[in-house]
Amino acid sequence: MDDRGMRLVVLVVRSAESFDPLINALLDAGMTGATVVDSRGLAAVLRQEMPIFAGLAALLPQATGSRMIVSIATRDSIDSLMRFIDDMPPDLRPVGAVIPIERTVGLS
Amino acid sequence: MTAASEGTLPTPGLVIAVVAVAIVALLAGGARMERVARIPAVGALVHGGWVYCAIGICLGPIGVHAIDAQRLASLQPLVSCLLALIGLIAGVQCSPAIMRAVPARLVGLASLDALIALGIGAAVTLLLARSIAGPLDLAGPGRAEGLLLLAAAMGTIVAAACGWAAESRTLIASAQPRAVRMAVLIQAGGGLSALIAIALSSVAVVPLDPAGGGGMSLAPALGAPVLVATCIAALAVTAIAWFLLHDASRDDSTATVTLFGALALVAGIASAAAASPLLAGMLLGICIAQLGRRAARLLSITHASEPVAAAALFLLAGAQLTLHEGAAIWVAALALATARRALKPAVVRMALRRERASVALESPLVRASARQSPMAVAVALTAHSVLPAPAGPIVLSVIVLAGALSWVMAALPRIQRSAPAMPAGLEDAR
Repeated sequence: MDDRGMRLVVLVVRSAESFDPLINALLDAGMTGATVVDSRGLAAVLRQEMPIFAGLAALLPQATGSRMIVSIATRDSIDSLMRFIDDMPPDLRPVGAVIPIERTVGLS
Repeated sequence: MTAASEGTLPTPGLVIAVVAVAIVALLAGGARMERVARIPAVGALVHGGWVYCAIGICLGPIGVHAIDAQRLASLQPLVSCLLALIGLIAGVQCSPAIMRAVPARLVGLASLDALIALGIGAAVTLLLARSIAGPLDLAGPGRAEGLLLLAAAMGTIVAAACGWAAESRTLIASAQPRAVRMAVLIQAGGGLSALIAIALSSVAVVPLDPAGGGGMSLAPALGAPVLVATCIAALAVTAIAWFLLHDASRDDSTATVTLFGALALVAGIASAAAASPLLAGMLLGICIAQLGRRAARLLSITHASEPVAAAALFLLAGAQLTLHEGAAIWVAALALATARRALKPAVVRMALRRERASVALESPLVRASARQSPMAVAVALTAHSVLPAPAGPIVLSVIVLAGALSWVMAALPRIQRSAPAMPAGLEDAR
């Protein structure tokens, strides 16, 4: 199946505060399918593996609040999502990328 | 007399000292150093702080003399801010979510460990009594001052003996769930004990008033009110910082500047009152930790500064080592490290024996409890600026040397009987 009109969007949301609005924005843009994965940044991994003065944070490995959203959508949907992200406060904006797709499998 | 107090330009030596501290600290926070520190043997040297301590020794009076007592006195504001930052890093752990996750067993372990530290600290202070008291005549007119000085030194050594290094990666031998659980408990126990150490060390020096022209005067009646006043002032600054940081619409850079501005202010207040900047920073951190989602971001920002703060701390501690005070320093350091190696793993095994099924009590991780916490060096550096000579330098040197020895001793496994040889077929199948 040729899917040259589709795009892969990968977003890393760094705080729980910006997660809900972003999910709403995905739905508003017509993107009803996405995968959400709890994630940890490299700095969080390093900090947890080798703390120096602060070790108590090891008790809450899930406390980073970081999540990764992966979705395949049309260019129009993603443009709509990007407009929402551009309007978000800078410190709440996710980090991510939009990638053109050659082919997909498993999508109906 | 310092350059600042003379109102003259800084000397070249002072510039060299500041630049050396800055370069080492910045290199310590770099990605390349993070990569190198992932090699277990190197990680023990870097995260133990011993590489930076060695650089400090080379730059200090024992080495090329680029940093000496006079230049270090000029760096005192930097040292106060550094200690307050370390206190902040420890205090900001106390978020409600993390404190709720602390198991009762860990609180029991930390309490038992503090009792053991009391015994170790008292014994080591007795070994050092004659050296610490110095010119004070413990049997004569200087008895009161001498005993109070010994009590302050003992409090500092006890605080330094509390807990262990939180870093455990360099001793992890397997990724089995029981070992991972043990690593978490070792890390969390180290973090919890760091808070106890800061509180103990801050109270230990309360009766001393170092603002007596380089000497010491006793102020047991004045000390407690000064400590309380310092805490109130620090909390007042914290309340302002809280008010500024509580507004979630402020971006991270504004929040970071606000936080570090408040940190510098509480460090200055603590220094002016001859109280512990570690305590003032910890109070600020504990209050900041209650800020909810904002605290999570600030937690990651302050933790990112951990390697930088640790590098500067160990460099400054290394530069102030005095190894010419006699054999007592070496004997006391060896006794302290040996006591840690003998008692701490035993304490961990005893406190966690009921969790035998879920934690790896026989793994090398248990030896991590024998390694002295980097917080001990922060405690010693705080005492160095409050305790009069020769007590301050002696306590600092004993704690730094004991720390290095404890890391070496923890690296040595227990001598075990060799296991019987495995049959050839089974060896292949393993």
